[in-house]
Amino acid sequence: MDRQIGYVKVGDTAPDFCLPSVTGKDIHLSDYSGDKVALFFWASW
Amino acid sequence: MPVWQTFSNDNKKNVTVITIAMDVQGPEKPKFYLQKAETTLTTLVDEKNVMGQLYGFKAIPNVYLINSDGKVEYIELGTFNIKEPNKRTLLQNWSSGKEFRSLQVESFEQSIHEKANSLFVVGQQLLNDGKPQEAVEIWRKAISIDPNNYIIRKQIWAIENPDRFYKDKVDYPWQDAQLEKGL
Repeated sequence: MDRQIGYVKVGDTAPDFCLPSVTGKDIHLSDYSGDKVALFFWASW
Repeated sequence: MPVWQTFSNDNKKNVTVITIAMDVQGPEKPKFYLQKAETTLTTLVDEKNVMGQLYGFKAIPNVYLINSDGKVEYIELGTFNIKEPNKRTLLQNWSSGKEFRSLQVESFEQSIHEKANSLFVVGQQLLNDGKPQEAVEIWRKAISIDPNNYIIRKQIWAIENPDRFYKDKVDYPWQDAQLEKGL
């Protein structure tokens, strides 16, 4: 069933990723290592 | 988004807010939205659902709170709304290092529940219209989405096997046997 969604669990190290920003800059999560980071996923639709 | 902006402004010493737009149509759509909302938050665009696959989610809006050691402290999938006062408090407490209970909210479960329930209502209507077969069909769909919904499951049983429910008394051993058979 759909309960297995969420590979990342509380207590896990957040997997690093690289995505372009809306201003065209590549951003890695690791750019912010040492910071508290809030990731908010949304969509314009 | 404006509320996230305010939270970010008020907490910029403690927290970096990164928003990720899951827009398959590319950066123009979220860009337009952000300009309208006048935000300066760092916003990334995930056109290919890279993050859904890497982090494992199928619904938005989601929040992952990551501590300064890079560990995930809070996850909420599918329903995070910063406008809710208790969510604001949670974020504020997390930011200021106050008592913060690490938590994984499986709100996806909630959306399953809602989907099943809306099918249940459709089925009820069909039943009222004198179409029990069609109602049962819809309800079977509902419990395939939400297998733990016994309200719907038992409705199906009651329609298909009225004598187990409406004669004498409810036949619980029969119900247990049905469950064992996966019905």
